[in-house]
Amino acid sequence: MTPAIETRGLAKRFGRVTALKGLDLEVHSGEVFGFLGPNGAGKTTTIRLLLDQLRPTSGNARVLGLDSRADSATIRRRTGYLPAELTLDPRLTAAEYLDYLGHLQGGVDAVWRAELVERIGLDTTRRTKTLSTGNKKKVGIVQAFMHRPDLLILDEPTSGLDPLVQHAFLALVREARARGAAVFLSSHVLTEVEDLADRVGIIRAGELIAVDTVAGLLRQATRRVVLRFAAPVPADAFAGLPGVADLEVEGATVTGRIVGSPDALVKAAARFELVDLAPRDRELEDVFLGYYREAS
Amino acid sequence: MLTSVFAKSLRDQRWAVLGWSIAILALVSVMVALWPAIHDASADLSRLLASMPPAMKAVLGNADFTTARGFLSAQLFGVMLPVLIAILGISRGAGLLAGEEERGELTLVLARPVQRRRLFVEKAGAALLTVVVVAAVVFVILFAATRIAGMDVAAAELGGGAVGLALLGCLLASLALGIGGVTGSRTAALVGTVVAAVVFYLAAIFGRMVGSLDWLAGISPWEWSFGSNPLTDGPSLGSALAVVTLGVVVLGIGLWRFDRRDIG
Repeated sequence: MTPAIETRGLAKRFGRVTALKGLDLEVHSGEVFGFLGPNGAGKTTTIRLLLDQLRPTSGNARVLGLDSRADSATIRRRTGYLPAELTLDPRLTAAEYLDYLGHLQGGVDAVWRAELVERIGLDTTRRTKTLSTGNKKKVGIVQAFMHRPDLLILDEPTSGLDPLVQHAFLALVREARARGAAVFLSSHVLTEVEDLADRVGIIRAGELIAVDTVAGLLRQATRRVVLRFAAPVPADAFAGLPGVADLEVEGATVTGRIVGSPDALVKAAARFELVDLAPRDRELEDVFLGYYREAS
Repeated sequence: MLTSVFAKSLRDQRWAVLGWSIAILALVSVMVALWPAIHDASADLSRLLASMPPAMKAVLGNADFTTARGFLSAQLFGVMLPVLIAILGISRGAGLLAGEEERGELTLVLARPVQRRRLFVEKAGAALLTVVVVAAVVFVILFAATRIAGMDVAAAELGGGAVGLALLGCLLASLALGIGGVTGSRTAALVGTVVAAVVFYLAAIFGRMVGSLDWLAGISPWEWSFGSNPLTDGPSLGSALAVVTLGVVVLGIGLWRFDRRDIG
């Protein structure tokens, strides 16, 4: 099956700054792909390249099987986009603005739009410039979903939304996936994608440094342990142990990260009087932060 | 009115057009109301003008206060109306494209299946039509006011003046759209076009004032639009074509770059 998004060596330079360094990425229909990275990593640049608002310095992208440059208008007919920085037209009410965007989009079902407005809890009679950040985001969500697109590109979608609306939004994303749409979900916070994403790509400084399923990322999670002893222990007793990284000995406390078998660490610790051993749970957050740190 | 970029952009101008129309109505009313007094004093004024140095006369547009035509030419079409239409054209040209791009309002519009070229053309169309509508309003108001005041000015002469206004306003709007299309910066579009308008004006004035510099007037789009006596001369077909050609060229350059560059 043709991937919904397929980029080959996609790169973008702004003057002397390289925002994206040869991105190779595949996102499939019927999956939610979490695109994670710190601010400024190149997430929005990638999205704007896919939408043909920016032009690549090198490489190319195919979206819904079409060339992102030549067939951009056709791609956009079948794509819904929620930008992170949302600027609505200040001269119109929310309803008028949705009418306008709907006319330009084509293929908007009025009944479905009304249902979206209802589910997300948007007051469409108000002028967009009088709306709060959260309510502006609601307009953004409706315009992204209203034409039942085959591809949804959502940039930091839940920031500024209250929990109830977030819930309605998550349901919309799951429904879109269920009917076979691809969802490209970009965020700098893990919690935003953790519950939704089938696969996660981690981008840092313009480079994709890992792509895996959420379960796969968990498997390679790094485990932190803290060992407390009755008395200070000599540092050399723990030096160079296999299977342990970032080992630190401070008086009676030893901390480290288990990257392989914990056997050597446990045997080294057994020679002293251990009062506490506290393994920290493996969390996706750790993996995520680990990737951020590793690369920096 | 929300069915296309063109219609929507035009709709956005409705209050501006109303405001400009009211301002022009007020300006024309004051000038026409002054006419009887000026007319009575025209002999003295003519003597005063005749005593001025030729350069000064050129700045005043070789004003002839003995006729209604000469009076309106100098008072309205010399500086006032051209400046108003220039401000209108520049602000529409810079605001409709670069202004909206800078504020990020184009992001969601360009996420629709809208071609960039199409967007540019529709925005330009809305800006230019706004200028033409206001120039037409000038004509209607002047025509009505001169009939009411019994001033001897032919409709064709007023029409020539209004066409001159439309030409200058559209050219400056096109220049602002062109600079905005190339740079995406509203400030660049505004500053660039204001500088151009001032240069056009000064070239026309110095060209008229200084005999050896008369070629300057020949290359000034300001002069192309109005001639030296806006209501009696008006723009010739040739100079009107020159203005239109220049406008099309700068729009074309803007369109070409807008279609190829990154959108802000």
